[in-house]
Amino acid sequence: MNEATDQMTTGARLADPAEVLDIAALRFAWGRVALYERLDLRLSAAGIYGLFGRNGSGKPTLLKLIAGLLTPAAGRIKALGYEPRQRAAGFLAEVYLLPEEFHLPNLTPRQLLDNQAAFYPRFDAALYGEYLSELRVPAGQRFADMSLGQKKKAAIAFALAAQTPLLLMDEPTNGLDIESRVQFRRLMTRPEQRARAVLISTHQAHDLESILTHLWFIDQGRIVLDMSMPEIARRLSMGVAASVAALPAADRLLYQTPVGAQWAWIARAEDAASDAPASASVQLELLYQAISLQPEAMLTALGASGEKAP
Amino acid sequence: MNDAFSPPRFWRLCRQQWQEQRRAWGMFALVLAVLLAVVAGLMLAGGSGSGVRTNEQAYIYIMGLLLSGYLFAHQAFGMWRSREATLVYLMRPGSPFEKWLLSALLLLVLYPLLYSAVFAAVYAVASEVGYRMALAHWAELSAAGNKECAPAPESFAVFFPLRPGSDLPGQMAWGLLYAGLMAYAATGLVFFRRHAALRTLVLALGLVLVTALMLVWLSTERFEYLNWWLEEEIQPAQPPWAAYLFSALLWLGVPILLWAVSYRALRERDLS
Repeated sequence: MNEATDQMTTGARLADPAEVLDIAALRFAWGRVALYERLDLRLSAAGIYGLFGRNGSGKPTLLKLIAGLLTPAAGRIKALGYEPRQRAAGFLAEVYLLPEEFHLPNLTPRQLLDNQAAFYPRFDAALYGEYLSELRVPAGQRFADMSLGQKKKAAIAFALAAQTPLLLMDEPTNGLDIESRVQFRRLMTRPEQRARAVLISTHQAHDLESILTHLWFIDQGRIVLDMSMPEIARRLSMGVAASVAALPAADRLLYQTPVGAQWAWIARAEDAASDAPASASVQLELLYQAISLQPEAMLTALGASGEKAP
Repeated sequence: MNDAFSPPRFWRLCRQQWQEQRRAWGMFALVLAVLLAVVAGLMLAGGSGSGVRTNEQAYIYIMGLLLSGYLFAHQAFGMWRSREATLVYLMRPGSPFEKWLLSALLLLVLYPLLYSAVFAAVYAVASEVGYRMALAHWAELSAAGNKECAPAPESFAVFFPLRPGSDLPGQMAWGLLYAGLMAYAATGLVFFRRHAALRTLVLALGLVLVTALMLVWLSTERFEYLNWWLEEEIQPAQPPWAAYLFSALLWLGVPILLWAVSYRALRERDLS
């Protein structure tokens, strides 16, 4: 059973579920290059949402649009009941964006707490201390004297301790060593994170597959897959076969790729129509590959336009 | 809580700005003090101390305020030069109006106070030295039979704007010029991400040129007005209404317009 099982089964709904995120017919372009044409997305339950897609598919751009840092050409974005582009102070206190390339003032983590925590009404100083300790970030050392990884961990600790109902993270595990990635996953599955919606844009599928509750796959300006992880696990089987002969039957087999002398594969689940809970975990990296290389077959098998975020 | 302005939130923004920037501001004040001291030293060197009389100090004060204020604006709001720092600034929970107000207060009130304090500290010493040099010089002249009056201590008082008896209309004009320059710097910072200080200056030169040409074009006696700008002694008997209008726009309208533009830019700037 993976680390996110509790969250998946909880599926905690936020205080005002309809208001977390509602994107309708979003259009956005960089100059003349259209990035999104009528993108729709809705989110109303707490959970950890993974946003995947190829390079250039506009994942960080989507986060910036949600945060109100960019102006849509057309369409509507509502986040937590606000129109993000208005940059209302109330909205900014309820959302936290941790970009891939981030900036920290030349303070210590402790000074950062004194200086900026008051902006976030739900900020939990005790949790911040715990996170710093868990991530082994010295609270009294200036950021200028820290490595990039240390700074990133401090930024993650602050972002998580802010306890905003909506947290946006772009490639949060980039720059972290293996141990820190494990610590990050551990922090993300702590009980206090269950009451919020976390959107993570990443290519590091393997880092996050155990903590995600929901998957979004973005391609050619639209969300082509919008499905909970248990639902994916219910519809697909994944595994590794010792030889071609050991692969699932051809009518079920959707994708296979050599891994050394073996074969990693994805197939339709044997009893996908069943309502029984899925037990197998989803190998995101393999799924990512499969959707990128054989989008039609994969998305048809998943019934991609079917399930929407709760 | 009012979303446009909330005193506690504004106080938090002020406090955050102070905690993050105080070191840099301290360093700026130190460098400013050194530069002002160097200028004062040059004005004292080889003279009879008259270079630091109150009237002479006024020119240094004004030029120093304009130049250093422009640089301070670019130093204090250096976050606009970095995409990452801009993101943090824009995402900080404060309304665009509060952020704009903080910038305006910092540039229009706090920096002039800081500058005046540094100026007063440097010129308290320089004017005292200048007065003693002037006294010594006067003593030498008196010993040689010269009947000049002794230098008055009040003519070596430290310059401070708006003090009683000073040229208040002139200082108001300089104040408006400073307000316009700061608004212009703030606008340039928000618009230009790279080389904002330089590009803003180049644009300023262009704007001055365009303004001058428009004044010439709008005047009835065109060349006379160009000369009016360039040579004070040639003045038309009765400037037309357009000249008055442009004068008012230049002195009042431009700073107000620029501050309005900087507010709009802060509110609407996209982060690419």
